[in-house]
Amino acid sequence: MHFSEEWHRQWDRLEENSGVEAGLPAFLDKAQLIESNMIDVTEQLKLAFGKLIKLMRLNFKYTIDDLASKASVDAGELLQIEENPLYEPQLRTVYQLAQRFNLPIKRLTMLAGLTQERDPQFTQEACRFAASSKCISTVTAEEREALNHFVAVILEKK
Amino acid sequence: MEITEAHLKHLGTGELMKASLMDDITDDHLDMWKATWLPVIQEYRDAFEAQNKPKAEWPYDLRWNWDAKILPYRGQLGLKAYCIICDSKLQGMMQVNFITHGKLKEHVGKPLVYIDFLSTAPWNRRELVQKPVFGRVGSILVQTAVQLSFDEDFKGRIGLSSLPQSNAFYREAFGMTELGPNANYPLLTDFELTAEQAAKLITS
Repeated sequence: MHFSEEWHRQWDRLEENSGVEAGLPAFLDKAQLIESNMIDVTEQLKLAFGKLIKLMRLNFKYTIDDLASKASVDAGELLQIEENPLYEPQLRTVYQLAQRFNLPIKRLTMLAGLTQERDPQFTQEACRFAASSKCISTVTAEEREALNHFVAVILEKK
Repeated sequence: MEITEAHLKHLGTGELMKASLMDDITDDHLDMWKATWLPVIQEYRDAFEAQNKPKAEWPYDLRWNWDAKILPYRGQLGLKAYCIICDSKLQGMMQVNFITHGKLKEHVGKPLVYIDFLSTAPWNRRELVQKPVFGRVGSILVQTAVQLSFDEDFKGRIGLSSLPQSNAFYREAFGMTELGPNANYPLLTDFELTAEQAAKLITS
C-alpha cells in the first residue's frame, strides 16, 4: 500500500510540524509500562493537587504557617503536599483543605490519589493544569487564570 | 525479515531518498537506537533538566526503552515490529499488535491492528531540532500498519494512542476518529481508523 505523492505533498508540512509519535500498548502490562517510564496518571493527579493547594494558598496570600493554622493541619505535611508529588496526604488533611477552600471533597480526594475512582475528562483537565502552572513565589496573571479555570472544573461549572 | 523499498523526504533538499522498511527490529537495530538516538535524546533531557522544564512537558517518548519494548516480546504471535533505515541510519521504529479489538462503537468485537509504539529519530523532530532531516517516516510506518490490517482481513482498521503533539496529524492527515483522552493516561488521545476511512486513504 502506497499513498500517492499527492497525498504526501498535502500532508508533509503537517507531519513535519506536528510529529507522529504514538504510544500506549493495548494491553496494559504494568511491568512494560514501568520499563517504558510512562507517566502514571496518579502521579499527574498528585502534581495537580499540590499545585492547586499552593496556588490557592498564594492567592489568599497565606504563608504555609497561616494556612496550617487556619485549616488546622500540620505545616510540615502542607509543605510535602506542595513540593513532593509522590507524597500521599492524610484523608483528614485533604478534608480540612477542602473545607478551608470551599472545594468538593470528592474531587480533592481523587486529585490527592486517595481514591481509585476515575473521571477521564476531569483527569485530563487536572493533567493539563499540572503541566501548565510553574508555581513560583507569587501568582502570575496566567497562573490565576489557570487556577480559576481548574477550580471551575472542580466545582463542575465547566 | 522482509525489506520493502520506501522513500523519505530529505527536508533540507526536498529530495526523495531511498529507504528500507523492515518488518523486524533486530538486535542490530536496537544497537543503532542505543548508539545514535540515545546520546541525542540524553542531550535534550539534560537541556530540559537545566531549564527546569517540568517532566510533564517533555516529549513523552524521550524516556522510552526500546530494548524493554522489543526483547521480551520478540517472536510472540500477534506482535510485529518495523523500522526504517535511510542513509545507513535508523530513522523510525514501530511496534504493533493485532490481537486486540477496537473501542469505537462500530469496532466493538472487531479486531484491528493497534500501534503500541511509534517513534521517529530525534534528528527528524521539529520539537527537538531546528532543522529536522527526514520527513514521511511516521506516515510510512502508519501506512504499513494499515496495510497489515488489510493483510489480516481487518479491512484497514487501526488504533493508537497519540502523544499530544501528534493529535493533529492523526486527525487531519489520516482522517481518524478521535475517541478522546485515554482512560489511564489522559494526556494521550485515542484514535481509530474505520474501514471506510481506510478505504478513502487507498483511493486518495
